[in-house]
Amino acid sequence: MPPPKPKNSRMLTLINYRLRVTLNDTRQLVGQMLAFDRHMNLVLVDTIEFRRLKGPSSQGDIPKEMKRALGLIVLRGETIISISVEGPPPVKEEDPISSGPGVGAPAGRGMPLGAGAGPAPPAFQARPMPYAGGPPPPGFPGAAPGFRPPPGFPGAPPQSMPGFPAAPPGFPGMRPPSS
Amino acid sequence: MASQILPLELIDKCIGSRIWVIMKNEREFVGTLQGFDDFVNMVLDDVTEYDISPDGTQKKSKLRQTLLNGNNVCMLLPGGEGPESVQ
Repeated sequence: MPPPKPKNSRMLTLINYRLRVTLNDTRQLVGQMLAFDRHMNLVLVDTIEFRRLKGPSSQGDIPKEMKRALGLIVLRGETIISISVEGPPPVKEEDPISSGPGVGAPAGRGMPLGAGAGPAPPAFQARPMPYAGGPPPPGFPGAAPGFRPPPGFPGAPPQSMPGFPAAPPGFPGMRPPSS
Repeated sequence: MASQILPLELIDKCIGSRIWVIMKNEREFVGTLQGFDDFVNMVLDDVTEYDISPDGTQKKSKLRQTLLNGNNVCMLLPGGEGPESVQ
């Protein structure tokens, strides 16, 4: 005696097949079935819908048939009347991703991930500190001395120096109109 | 082997994107899927309703947010742009 088959095995044998599904509203769908569930909801790809339009326009002659290409659809199982096999699973060439002689390995620049995050930022943070710690709101006159130590920056452009001494006179000039 | 992805999982992936819903009768909806439940009741945003008459002409109307009863749903087309995109 063969072991009892699970109930879904009939549907499983149809997976990836091209099916013709008849619905309860005169529609027929032809598509490749990718998936189903216990409600017989289906996922179909490359689906084509056929339906007969009945009505006054088609009386007397053959009913007008409408055909639409729908592509990927989810079909509600409730509407399905019958399913028949339209054709075998479409044969496609080998999966292009799985084959090939190449080797996959993580690539990097020889630096561990955390290396750059360690000591460098503190060095950057340290630099502004002397400036921030300087005399706060004398305003520009205070800032000018900060720039002044050219011994630290021997190569500093000399043009900037005339620029800054010029600035403090500008501010005293602003003040009288406000007061 | 179970099937790779369940139909309702596929619908779940469509949340937030446009979906084309074909009802059992001659009526279709295109809208942005906001959510659905086990009955495939759906909440759609920015909906266009197409009422297709027997002679093939479509009557179009715009709706804002819509709760669609799953009872009459026949098909769902992820990313569908409605009956005007095919033919």
